[in-house]
Amino acid sequence: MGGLSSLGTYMVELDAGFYQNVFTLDDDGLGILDEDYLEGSTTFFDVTAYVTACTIKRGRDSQDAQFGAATCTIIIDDLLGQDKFSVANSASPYWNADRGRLGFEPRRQVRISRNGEYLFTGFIVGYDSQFGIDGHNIVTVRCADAFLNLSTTTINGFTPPAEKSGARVDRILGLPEVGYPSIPAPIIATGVANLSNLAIATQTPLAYFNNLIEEAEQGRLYIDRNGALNWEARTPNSTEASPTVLFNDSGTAIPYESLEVIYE
Amino acid sequence: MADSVVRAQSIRPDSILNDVTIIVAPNPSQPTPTDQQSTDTTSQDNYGVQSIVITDSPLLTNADALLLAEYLLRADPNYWFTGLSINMHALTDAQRLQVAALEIGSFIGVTKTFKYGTPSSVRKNLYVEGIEHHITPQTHHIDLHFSPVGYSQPWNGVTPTLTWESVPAGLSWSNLIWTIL
Repeated sequence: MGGLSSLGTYMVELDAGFYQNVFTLDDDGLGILDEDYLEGSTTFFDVTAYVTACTIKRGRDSQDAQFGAATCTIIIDDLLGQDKFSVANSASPYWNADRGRLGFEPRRQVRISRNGEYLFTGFIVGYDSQFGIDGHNIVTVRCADAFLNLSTTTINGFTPPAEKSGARVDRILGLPEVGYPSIPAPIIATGVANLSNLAIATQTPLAYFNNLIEEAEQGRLYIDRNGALNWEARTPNSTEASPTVLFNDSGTAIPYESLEVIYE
Repeated sequence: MADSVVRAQSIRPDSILNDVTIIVAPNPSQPTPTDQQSTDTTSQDNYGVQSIVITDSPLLTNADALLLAEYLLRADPNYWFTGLSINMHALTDAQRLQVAALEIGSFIGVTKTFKYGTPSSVRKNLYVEGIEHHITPQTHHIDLHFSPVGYSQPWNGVTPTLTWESVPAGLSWSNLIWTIL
């Protein structure tokens, strides 16, 4: 995405599941001291040059909507990539020889950044190819964030103690059957809501957390830009705080192109 | 991402709600819970009764339920900025840095100016609820989705030093209580 260079350094990285830059003795390309690494440097490949579009959607549209997984769609023109992204190309540098298939498999990691700040971190959930007669083979990489772990696992019914909502969220994430990743560490607010010690029915963590938001805490649950799960308490009904990030249409703050207003 | 739980009716925090009832599920701390209701009769007179009932809430006590009922009460209609679009090309480097660092839950201020009428500008303080990026080799557009800071916006006069004696006409008790809390 070189045309974006005036806006910053953008990078789309996909995890292929194997290390690159592995030092190889007597190899012209991989045998260079101070450039190649004994065990490889990273499993992420920078594919930015082949990306023609990228859309990221995080959070929710409004306060009454339920939280779900953030999604990201990456469009790759594999004519630019010379079929590197083909699922059948065993000569691709992204081919995982150990597994005998393209490294960009479902559940491999994805990260998109601008000037080193992540805009999205997540996982591949789908890798679709469309072969065009004009030679433009278009690959669509569909991604979701770590919310996936909340909808693909199930809480076995149990009875928790009475506790604040933050402690309850922490308890659920730590259940062995949920096994939510501890890295990056979840960021969990104490919460306002005191929860009862009634038994929790068998359900997905996502269903339970959305129920807590709607019927108890009225807070937020999301995966942040760096991939950490966040549980936030009820937004105060009133605040004396002043925001530090300001938008306006008069040229004295961050400008916006359009503004939506509702009145009800 | 389908949610398998059957839900109570949807709550729109920015819509009028003048009759809110929360009932906790019976539990050892509250074995015989009672309806905890928060109402605004003036709002009901003006806009009709607009109610919501949440039963079997996982909250612990009647007091917790009442707190939530008061939180959800919305006596008057209001307008909110629900979202805006940003073109990164139109921003300075410093502004791009600020925008790229926004996160869900970020607290921001938005001002809209008007060519005609009074006032000539309106400022709303909002929380970011959603962020969308649309990136191509040429452009980067960002859409932000907001929720309001509760309902305190009309009452900018509420300050930490406000006393009961100096409460301006029209300020409801529930909003003042929330401000003090």
